[in-house]
Amino acid sequence: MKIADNFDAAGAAAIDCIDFLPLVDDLLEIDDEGWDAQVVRHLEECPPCRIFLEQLQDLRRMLRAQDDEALALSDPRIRTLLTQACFPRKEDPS
Amino acid sequence: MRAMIGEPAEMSAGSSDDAELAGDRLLLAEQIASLYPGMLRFARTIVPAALAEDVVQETWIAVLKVANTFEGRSTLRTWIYAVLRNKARQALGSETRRRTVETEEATDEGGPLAGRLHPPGHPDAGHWSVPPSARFIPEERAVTAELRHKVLEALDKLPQRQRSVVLLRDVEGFSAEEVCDLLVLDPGNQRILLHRGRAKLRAYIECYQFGRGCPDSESGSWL
Repeated sequence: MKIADNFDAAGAAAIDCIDFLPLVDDLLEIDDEGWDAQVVRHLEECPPCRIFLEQLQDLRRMLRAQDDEALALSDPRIRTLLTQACFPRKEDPS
Repeated sequence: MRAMIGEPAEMSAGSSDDAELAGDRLLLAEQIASLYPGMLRFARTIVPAALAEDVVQETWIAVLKVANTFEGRSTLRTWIYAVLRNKARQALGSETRRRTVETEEATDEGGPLAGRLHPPGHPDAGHWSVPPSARFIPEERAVTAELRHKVLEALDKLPQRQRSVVLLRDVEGFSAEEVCDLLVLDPGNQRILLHRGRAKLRAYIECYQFGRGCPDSESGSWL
């Protein structure tokens, strides 16, 4: 491997898979437009790391896809709590 | 959150409009309904499942009593979760309430990626030796109930602190800063717990779905 292979067009050192893996959690938080050029280049050249990142994106999609979004409003637990809430009462006209 | 926060009782005490009262009750019911499932999941990361319902109910009772003291320094949801955390810790008793400073070790030897990359000295050092095979959900596909069930099952098996962080970040969608406040973690620890929790869940699903990266029989499971 030539030394130049380890540098991108801007002269930044290329990263390998070991460098890339600790960055994955941060990449999940930011839009891919904000990713560092080294990261983008590594993902272009390394399908396994791209799949690894996609697996984590899929994992988060699965975690976010909750199907118990809300209790039914008629749920007895809600009725119990509503009896505890301090709502303003109608003033006694007398 | 008008029913609980924006319009405390004394501010609207003069109102005798039944329709408005009914509207407030409905709004509150909707707020409770939407937050309740997530609160229950969070409570279960702190107390045994049998106690979680009671803790959530006690949290709401407390919140409803003091809602007009909410100062808006955090989001309402974060504030309610902080009350829930305190109630859950109280429910555990003084033994576990006594706080010890735990730090997550930075080393990750023996984790799910151990042996998946070529070691130093190998011609391909720094690169995968056993690469991940495919993404879990092919593009344009919906999340299947079976896979989601597996992931939630795996989440329940994570060590408690990793489970709490992954749940709050990835299921409930809290920010890193909010999670640090709620769980009294420093940012570095939060980051490590999240990384380890996600790594184990990923490995668990990879093993389940593709039979790849499974733990050897001696270590049994990644969870």
